[in-house]
Amino acid sequence: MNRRSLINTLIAGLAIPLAPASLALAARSSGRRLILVELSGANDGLNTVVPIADERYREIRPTIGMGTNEVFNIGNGLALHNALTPLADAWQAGDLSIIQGLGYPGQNRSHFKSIALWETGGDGSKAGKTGWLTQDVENMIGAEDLDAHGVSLDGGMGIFASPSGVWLSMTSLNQFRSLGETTERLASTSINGKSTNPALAMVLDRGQSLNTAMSRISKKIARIRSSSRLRFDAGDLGRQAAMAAQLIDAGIDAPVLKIKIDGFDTHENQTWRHRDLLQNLGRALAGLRNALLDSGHWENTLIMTYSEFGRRAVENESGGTDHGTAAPHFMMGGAVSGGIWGIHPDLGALNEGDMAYTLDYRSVYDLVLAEWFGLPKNRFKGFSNSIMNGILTT
Amino acid sequence: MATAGRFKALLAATAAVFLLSITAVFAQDSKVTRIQRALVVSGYDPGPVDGYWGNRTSSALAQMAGDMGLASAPKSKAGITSEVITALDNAYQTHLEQQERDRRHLQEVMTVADARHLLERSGVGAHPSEILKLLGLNRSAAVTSIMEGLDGSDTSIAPPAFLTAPRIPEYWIRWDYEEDGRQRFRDARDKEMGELRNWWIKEMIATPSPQAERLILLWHNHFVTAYSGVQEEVHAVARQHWTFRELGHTNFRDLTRALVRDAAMLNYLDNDRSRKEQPNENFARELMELFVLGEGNYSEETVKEVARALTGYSYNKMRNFEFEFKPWHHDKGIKNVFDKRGRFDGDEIVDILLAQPAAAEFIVDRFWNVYVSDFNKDPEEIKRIADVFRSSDFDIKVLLRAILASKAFWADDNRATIVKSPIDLLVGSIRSTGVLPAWWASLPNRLASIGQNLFEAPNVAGWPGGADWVTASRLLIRREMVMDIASAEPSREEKDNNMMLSEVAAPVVAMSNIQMMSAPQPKVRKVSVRYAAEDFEGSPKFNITTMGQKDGMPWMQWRSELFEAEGGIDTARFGRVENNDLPWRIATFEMPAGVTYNKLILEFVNDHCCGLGGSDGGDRNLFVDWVALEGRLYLASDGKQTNNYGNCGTARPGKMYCSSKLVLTEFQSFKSGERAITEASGDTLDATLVAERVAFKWAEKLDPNDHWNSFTFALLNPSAAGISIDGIQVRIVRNRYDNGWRTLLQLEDRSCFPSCLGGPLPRSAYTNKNNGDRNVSFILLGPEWRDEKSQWNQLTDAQRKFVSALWMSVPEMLAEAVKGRNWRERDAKNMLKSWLPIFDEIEKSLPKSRYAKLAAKGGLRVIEREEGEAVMSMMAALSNTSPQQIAGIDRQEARWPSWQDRLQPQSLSQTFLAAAPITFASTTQNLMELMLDPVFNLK
Repeated sequence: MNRRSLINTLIAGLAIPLAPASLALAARSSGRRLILVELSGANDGLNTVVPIADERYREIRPTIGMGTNEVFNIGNGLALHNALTPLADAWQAGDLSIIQGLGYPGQNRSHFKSIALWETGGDGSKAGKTGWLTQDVENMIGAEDLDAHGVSLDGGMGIFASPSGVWLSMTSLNQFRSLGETTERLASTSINGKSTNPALAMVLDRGQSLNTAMSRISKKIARIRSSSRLRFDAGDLGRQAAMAAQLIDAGIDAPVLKIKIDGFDTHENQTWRHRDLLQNLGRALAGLRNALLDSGHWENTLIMTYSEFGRRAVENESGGTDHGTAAPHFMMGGAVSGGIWGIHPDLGALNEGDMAYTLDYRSVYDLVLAEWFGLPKNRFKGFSNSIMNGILTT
Repeated sequence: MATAGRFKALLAATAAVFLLSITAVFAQDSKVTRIQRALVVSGYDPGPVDGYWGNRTSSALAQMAGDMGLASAPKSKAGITSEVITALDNAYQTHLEQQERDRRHLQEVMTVADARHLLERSGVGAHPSEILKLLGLNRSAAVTSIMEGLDGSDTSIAPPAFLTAPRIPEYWIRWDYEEDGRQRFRDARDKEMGELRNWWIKEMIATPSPQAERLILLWHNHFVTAYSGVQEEVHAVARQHWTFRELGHTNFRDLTRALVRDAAMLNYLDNDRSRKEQPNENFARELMELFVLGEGNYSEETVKEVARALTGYSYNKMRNFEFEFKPWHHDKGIKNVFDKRGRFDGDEIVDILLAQPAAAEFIVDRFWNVYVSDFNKDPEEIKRIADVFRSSDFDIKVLLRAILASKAFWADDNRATIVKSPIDLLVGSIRSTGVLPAWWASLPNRLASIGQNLFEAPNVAGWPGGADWVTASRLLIRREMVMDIASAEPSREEKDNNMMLSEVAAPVVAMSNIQMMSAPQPKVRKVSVRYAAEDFEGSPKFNITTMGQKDGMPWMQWRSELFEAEGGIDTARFGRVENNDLPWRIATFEMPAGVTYNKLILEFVNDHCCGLGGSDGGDRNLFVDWVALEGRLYLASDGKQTNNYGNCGTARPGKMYCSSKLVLTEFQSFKSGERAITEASGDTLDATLVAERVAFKWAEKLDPNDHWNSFTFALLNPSAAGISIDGIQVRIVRNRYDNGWRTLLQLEDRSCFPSCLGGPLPRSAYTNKNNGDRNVSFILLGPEWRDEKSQWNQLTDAQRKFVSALWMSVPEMLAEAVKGRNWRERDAKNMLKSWLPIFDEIEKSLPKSRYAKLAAKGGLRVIEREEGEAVMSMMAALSNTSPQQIAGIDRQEARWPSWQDRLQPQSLSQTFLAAAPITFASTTQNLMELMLDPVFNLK
């Protein structure tokens, strides 16, 4: 390729988000969105979705194990921690599903490294370099008409790592709101036509999409303040969840939102710490569901939890649990077919106190991209797994 | 103010005390090879490049020495001094300038635009004074001129004090601490990370040789590690940084070999736990994909083989993060790597990878992106430069010169085709304008909020750069930041650190009446507060109240005026701040004479929350580290915090997220000008073993069928009989032999620091053939082998007493170890069950042993360390003042307008922009306009 044609390709590639024709379906036309809920610190799956009927559970959790009066049964020998009672409505309504035994080969036990793997779709032998859904979402047909590709409400942008696209944090939303003047300035100084300098062309193009995003979003955000204050009694997660509901209600058109609850690293005194965390999780998700039911967005919303890893099946000597492997995760939404999915790891086949994962977490990523966003040819199609067939009624 | 000489001394100390001496890694022969290569690239003929010192090498060197005006030429390898190396460097540059004479583009005379271009690309920003120096030279000479500043180890600001502290933190034993202790340890490391980051940024602002910093930035983003990914091992992070400073401008082979043995790297990419049974492929893969060859230039099979070769490559936390080869984890089998077959180790792997044709091109491509263009590639030119680089055996200077002398580097098409990184944008602009903004302390946060938190690259691929620097949300914040710089008030902060310290440490108020009368009382006393602020629609305000007693009741003695925090981060604009990046500053209050007190209260009065979306959208918070006055240091973390309302943050005093009061009563004393480190008291009783902590390290179940079982204790800072070391692991061994059992105590070099016995182990120590590790055993029960007898006999008297004190304390070690967290977490209780009879036996036998004769009255005393660390970190904070220089010249003289006149005022846009401005006339004299132009995002 000679230099000139290389430059042209670059300009084209940078200026217009190209959507390969093979990638089907438009996110915008469906208006679907995904709310990611990070359980930071690594949630203890065994005390969240409790195998209450399994005798081996008592053996490996002699002191911190959940008693039968501390859980509510959901069938199949499983029970949910009582702190999750706020989710009982969703469970009854068939809006809540549990996917069991998620993990990946070559478990990394560092919080930092393992969450980076979940964020980028990597595993023990290969790390990803961009957010697991950024590229596919940016490439959806109609993606250029969105207000933003994604908004993080907790400041964390790792899962949205992308050299392109409009991935925003709360900080940038605030700036959009407060910088009306600059918007005008930027708009008035924008350039007609393209530069032959590819770098400059790219910067100008970015300025253009920034202007567009700002002018769209700032108007919508202006409405939020005046609307009634939504509050969920669920700590910081409650605040973020309420904000998410408000953004959606204000009509911010972004297919991905992200919230986070911190503190799951329960090496010590797990019993009460974990209860408080799950209580906030339950209340926030229930509150979010109610708000979205009220505003009519529930059918178009999919909520999904994730965490860097599960915790060791065998409890430790400090009334807690150490870094482990597999864990169950929740999926909630109007289009979710509630129930228990996948296979629970065998507590009789622990390896050095750890459970073996039964489903690669990237199968869930494939499910979300393929079934929810209509992108069957996504990065994770190789992980497609029929065990979750029917979990989303699309 | 410190002089250059003092920095040098400090740096020398740094190298000696903490940082590795990299040159020791290489054998003498490779030094000759290097000299021969340097002669070749400089146009001399040393004969074959073979590493042998012969007549032709000698005469070529003599010729070079003559040409370069050296008084004498080296006669042998030993004569290769740093002077000779410098002369060789000069010879190379001279030779290249001669070669470049017939390259027309290099003979052009430098314009302002050329100079700015060369400086911005090869350094950081472009100060008018730097531009002036290059004007009038031809391009070839200009390149020579900027290539003088490539050595990063000679810094203009002394590195943070924690790197030269006499003791390294106890990384290796910290897991034995309970949660609060571990938290304190983490907090201390986080603070040090902040200091290191802050220091690097200051160095980039101040240095007269920004070309070194550019190379370090390049390697920092090539051999990527992140502080978050190495369990707070900030000393390993700093050591890697220093490796870039020392080797970053030398040879890529040496650099890569050093990185294969680098603690931070081995940790970050999980190689420290890679064993032959289960090789971890992370490091092997990235070594090829990201560090040496590039994706697509190796197979998955090769990844597996290289991973096998790197098994057992680890490091020793106890021994100052030095490289450690663990033969018991290493796969000694034959590996197939590309076309080679053999029992390779890490160094050989590096050589094999570098022999691949893709290697040189891959590195040149990396340099091309950083120096020539992020967008325009010229594959043929890259190939040509790769050939030059390869034939110099990967000499980084040769590569850099080839890049800077290339037509592509100077081509108009490639100007303004690199997106400025946050460092370029902020630090570069500070250098270019010569104005240090009053908010300089918040630079780390500002860099982070536009995507470049130093030492925290997003993943092993590093910062992608280019388009990634200007994503929609970043572009907006960049604009804000640039406006802040263009309108910055210069910082007036000029505190001399020594003066500051003496003020804080001002005369200790005498305690007794008699002294009170004789001691001269100063009229006012200084109270210093180290704080950091997060702003939201205004800054936090606080005051200080001293409380005393009156009629037995608490009584307010004095209250300061309300102080408005400075240098805070505007959280609504830039987001919340990571804890270890808080923009710390020091506020000083004057307290009148005559105030007595037994309690200080610091009150944060004007909390305000929140922006849109809650605290992440803006929040006003105050962070307090300590309060110092009159030789007393009050740590916020030792205080009690009460909230005026609500309940946020009482558990972590000093982190004030709500309006609240911080009550301080506990303090540590320090005196001005003295190192306030209190070593564990040297006990006069020789035989007593004193240690700061005894922890359970590791044990295996006693198995009667095994011939070797062990139970290991770890001791922090043990001392006895005048021998005092930082750490030791004491291994109790149960050894089965043909006729029965033996019980002995084993010490090995790899598990002691700096040494096991206050000096080298005796001559007769056993040596592990695989890694050279030496160990000694001292028998208690059962027959003593001849070697062991020699080992004991060869000890000095003091060493015998020391060993005796260790042995005699074993029962007490056990009692101590039980208290720690390791005991619970490492299943020691179960191990002990099988060992109990042995420990009983030990206890019974000790009084009759030879050890009792030397240490009968001994025993173990555990004395927790006094908190000297806090005082040290306070002193470090006080000396962390703003950089006094910008781009190598005094701050007061650096402001751009005074220099611009000499550069001709009409060239303002050429001084600051890499291409003609788009939104304003190129004749504009308004800096703000130029900096807000889209072109300012490029260089």
